Amino acid sequence: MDREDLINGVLVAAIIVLLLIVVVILPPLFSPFSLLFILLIAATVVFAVLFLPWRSIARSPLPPDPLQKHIVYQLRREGLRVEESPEGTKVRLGSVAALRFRIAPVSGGSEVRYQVYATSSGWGTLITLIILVWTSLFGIVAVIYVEHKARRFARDRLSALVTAVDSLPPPSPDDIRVLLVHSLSEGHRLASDAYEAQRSDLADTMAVVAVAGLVVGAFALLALFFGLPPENPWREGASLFGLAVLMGVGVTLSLGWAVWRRARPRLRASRNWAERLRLALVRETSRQAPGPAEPSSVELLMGLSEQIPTWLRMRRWAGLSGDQAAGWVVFTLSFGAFSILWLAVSLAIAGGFLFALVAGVGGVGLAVAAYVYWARWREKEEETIERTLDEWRQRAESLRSRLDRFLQDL
Amino acid sequence: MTAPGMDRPDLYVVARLLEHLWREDEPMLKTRLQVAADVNYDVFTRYLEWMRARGLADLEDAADGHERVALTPKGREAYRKLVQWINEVVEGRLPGL
Repeated sequence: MDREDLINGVLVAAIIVLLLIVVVILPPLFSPFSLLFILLIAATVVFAVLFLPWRSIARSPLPPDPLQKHIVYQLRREGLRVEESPEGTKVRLGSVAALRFRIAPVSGGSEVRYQVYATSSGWGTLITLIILVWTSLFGIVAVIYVEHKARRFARDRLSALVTAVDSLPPPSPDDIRVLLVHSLSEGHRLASDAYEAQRSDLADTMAVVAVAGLVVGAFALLALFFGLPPENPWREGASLFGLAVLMGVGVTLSLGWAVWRRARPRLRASRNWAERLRLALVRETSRQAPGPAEPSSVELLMGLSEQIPTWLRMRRWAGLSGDQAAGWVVFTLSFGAFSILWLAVSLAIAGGFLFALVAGVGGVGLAVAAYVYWARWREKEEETIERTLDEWRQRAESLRSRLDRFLQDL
Repeated sequence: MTAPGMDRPDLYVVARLLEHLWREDEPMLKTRLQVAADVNYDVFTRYLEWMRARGLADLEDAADGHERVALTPKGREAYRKLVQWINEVVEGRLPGL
């Protein structure tokens, strides 16, 4: 049994013990509310312990820069979505799990360290499971699953790549195939991110449409009840309810259809781009030539450089839907504010004015916090998107003038 | 210097022809290159002449009597430049950015 198996065994044992404690030992000792609170704390602690540390995975005699280039190239060749940023290189390991790695100089070479991470939708799922309190236990299981997946990838793939690079020359940055693989992979990542942000935005809009249908149904019920004369046969309970449901469903379906119809061309376009770039990447790594009806890799990439500003604008439209973690912070603060203010109203009605005042101040404080957080997030997001758009405009302009000169100078 | 009827060649077609030639380890049959580039014979001939005039491609006569098109070192360098510029744009590494 190696060290990793031992760690896995200990983790499984810890989950079983935790489940036993929660299911058998704790319920008689604590009230259900306290138990939920304990679970929330436990999920947060497990999350912090598994997600926050940076762990060393391998060392190499190579300096950080060529080692980074080699690892990124190999990962992209395998079709993985890799994003290089100053905070670390993110590798997507599926729809939920991800990993970040950094390469630091050490005496005699470099050290590769990794941190467990999640995708944008993965963060949304994990935060939802943990903060909804009654799902915290599932949150713990999800956190352990993501950690296990990231650790296994770091141990089996990342470490092996670092070891293999010792005997290989790093990829030449001027090699045409290396450049094509990097460009196609990065293009595929951008197109896939754009598609996922739009899909998430559509799902959120559909949820709002469903709520609107519910509200319309409720108002219809009230309007029909008070509006129809008592002798009207439609005023009977079942008929009244049926009419209200019909109106609510009608509004939901028609609005939903309009939203979907509006979003469909953009969704389809970005999904097609992602798929075309993925196929081109597969073709490039398996050294196949494009067929007569297919665009060449360079044509595809020239078209891609024109699409990116559109995708960036779509990210702006997506708003909080594109950043599920921030979305959940705003939702949690708003939900907390609403709950506490509701409590304040109930206390005031019951005559407990002092407690109502305290709860009211707390609720307003949370509401202000939610607004301030949202306003700052929006300001930062706007700045980032505007800066990136400016950069893209400059890059596209520079490319156009270079290509024009290229034809003239030949 | 421009080939007849080629005041301003389409960069996409030039890039497509260069890419197909780059992918082959050896000179490519003219008809195969034309089919791969997905252009009609007239357009293909004009582009081929344009590329030959600029030293990007060369025609070779083989023993079997079929003409083949080969990528010259200048043509290879031109294609590499194209790919590198696009890579700099996609990965955001243009000078001054």
